[in-house]
Order: sequence, then C-alpha cells, then structure tokens
Amino acid sequence: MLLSEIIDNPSAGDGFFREVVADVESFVPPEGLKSIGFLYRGGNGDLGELLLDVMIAYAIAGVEVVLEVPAEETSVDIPYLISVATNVGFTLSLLPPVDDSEEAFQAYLVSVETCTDAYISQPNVSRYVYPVSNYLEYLFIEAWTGNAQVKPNDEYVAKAFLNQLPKEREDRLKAAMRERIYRYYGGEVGFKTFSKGMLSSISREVVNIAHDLSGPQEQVSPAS
Amino acid sequence: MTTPTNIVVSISVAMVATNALASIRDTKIEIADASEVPQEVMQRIDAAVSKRNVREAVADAFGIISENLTEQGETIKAKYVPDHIKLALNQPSDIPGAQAAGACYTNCYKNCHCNCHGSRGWR
Repeated sequence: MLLSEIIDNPSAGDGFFREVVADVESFVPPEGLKSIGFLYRGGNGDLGELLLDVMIAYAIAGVEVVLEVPAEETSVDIPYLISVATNVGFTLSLLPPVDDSEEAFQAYLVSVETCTDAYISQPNVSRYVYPVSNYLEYLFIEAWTGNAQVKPNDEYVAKAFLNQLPKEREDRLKAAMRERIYRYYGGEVGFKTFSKGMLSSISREVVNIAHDLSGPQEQVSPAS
Repeated sequence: MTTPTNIVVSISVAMVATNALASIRDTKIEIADASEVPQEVMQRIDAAVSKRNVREAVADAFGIISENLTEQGETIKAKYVPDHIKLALNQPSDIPGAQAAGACYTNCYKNCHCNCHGSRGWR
C-alpha cells in the first residue's frame, strides 16, 4: 500500500496500517491514523530522506511508527537501524521471509541473531525491536513465573508474526533468540538472576508510586 | 555461571520487563530477593528503571503491576495503597486522563492499559 492512498482516503481501515511505502512527502498524519508500518527499501543501505522525514513527522505527532524490514533486504545494517530507531522514535521490525525456502529462512535466522546481539548489547536503545523485544518479554515472564501461559494480544505482533512461519521454524527462531539472550546474560542461570534484579528494581518503583498515592499522612515504610 | 558484570541494561530492556510484568494474568509474583545480583549489574538496572520513559511505563501500568506483585504474600496494592485510591484504581474515570489529587497514576490506566497496549510477548 502507498502512503498517498492512505492520505487520499484516511477513513479507510481501522487506523492501523502495515507494509506502507512512503511515496509522498507528508508532515501531518492523516486523521485517525494510530499505527503505521513503513517498508524499508534498502538500496544503498540508508533509509532515504523522504522516508526518514515522514517517520520523524509522524512519530512527533504521536503516531506509532514501525519500520518494517523485509527479510529479503540483504544490505541492512541492523545495529545502525536500532540506533536510528531510538533517535527518531520508531519501532523496528524484522519481517519473516515471504519466500518459504530453507535458504531464505536461514538468512532470516542470521539476521535475527545479529539483531538480538545488537539489541541487548547496545546501551542507547529505547525502542522495541521485533521479534526480539517481544520474545525477551516472554523470557522475563517465564523466568518470573516458571510458566508463561499468556497469549500476545498486541495487534502488531499478532498480525506480523503469529502464524507467519511453520511451527518448526518458529521454534527454531525462538530457540536461536533464547540461546543468544542466555549467552549474553551468562546462561539460563545468569538470565534468571538478571530477571530477579529487574523485578526487584521495578518493584521498588511500584512501591514508591504506592507511597506517593498514600500521601504524606499515610506513608508506609517499605519492606527492606 | 552468574550474570556477567559488564552487561548493558538499556531503557528498552527495562521497558520490555515492565510490559512483561503488566501482561501477566492470574499469577502473583513475590518480589524477588536480588541479593545475588552483582552490585554493578543492579546499579545499571536501577539506572535504566529510573529513566523517565520507564517510570512512565511503570506508572501507566501501576494498577495491574501492583496487583501482580506480592510482598510476603500480600499484593502491593493491598499493602500500600489506601482504600480511597483503590476505589479510583478500580473505577474507569468519567473524564479520560483526569487526575485525582496526588494520584496521577490512577483511573483509566488500571482498566485500559492492557487493552490499549496489550502484551507484546511472542509466545
């Protein structure tokens, strides 16, 4: 779909658009637009001025902007895109291959592994990077609860990732991400220890908020 | 093998953890003893969680997270939140975005957070 088509007919759809090609300059999002996924078209490896301008304008206007990188794009500098995503304010998404060959899946697997390594080891990352962020979310829940019987209800994840790969390949992809994440944090035990630290820190923040809500006369000392 | 002390903790990873905590249903999680976490790692985690984006995300999901977390078996909400605030947390606001005095984390967030933002975890 072209961005110009959405601009010409903003009431079409539910405000969520995926795989959109930025074909025209646009600095004001169409009315009702909530979330838009722009297709990355590599060429010489950069994003292109037109796409970058539109994404910046839409992100500033409060639209959820996703840069969707097709698996078929081979000249992608993923660490660079992760950095740009933080600076510009968009979410990055590595789309599964359309081609169902084993070669295409292997190439995608390598891209996701590279992405996983970059995502967890780059310090200045503040945006989600699909599918790594959402799988990391699952691993946190698994570490905290011991099971993870929670189904994703995020619309983007559901549309872009669920049932897009055969089960066997989906399992291989998840296993690859798990392996890279565990390796970075010092194995499964190291990751679980890290998860405890994260849980503890967020818990303290939650208790602080509870104290703020209590007001000065109802302060309760936090448990140590 | 324990957690390496040189790991990076980005804002995004802290946001992911926050969203994970907010997406859990029907399971209570006892606040973890983090004494085994290396001090350098804990400092980096705290630094990431203290960033504005993460604090806002925690505040947005306060109603849910405070029910998911327990301290000695009692939820944070039950233990620390006064009754009149609990009531506000359980009621959708008549005015979207309205803030009760000293309670900007309340009202619509509790009931709407996961419906709006959802769980992004890929299970």
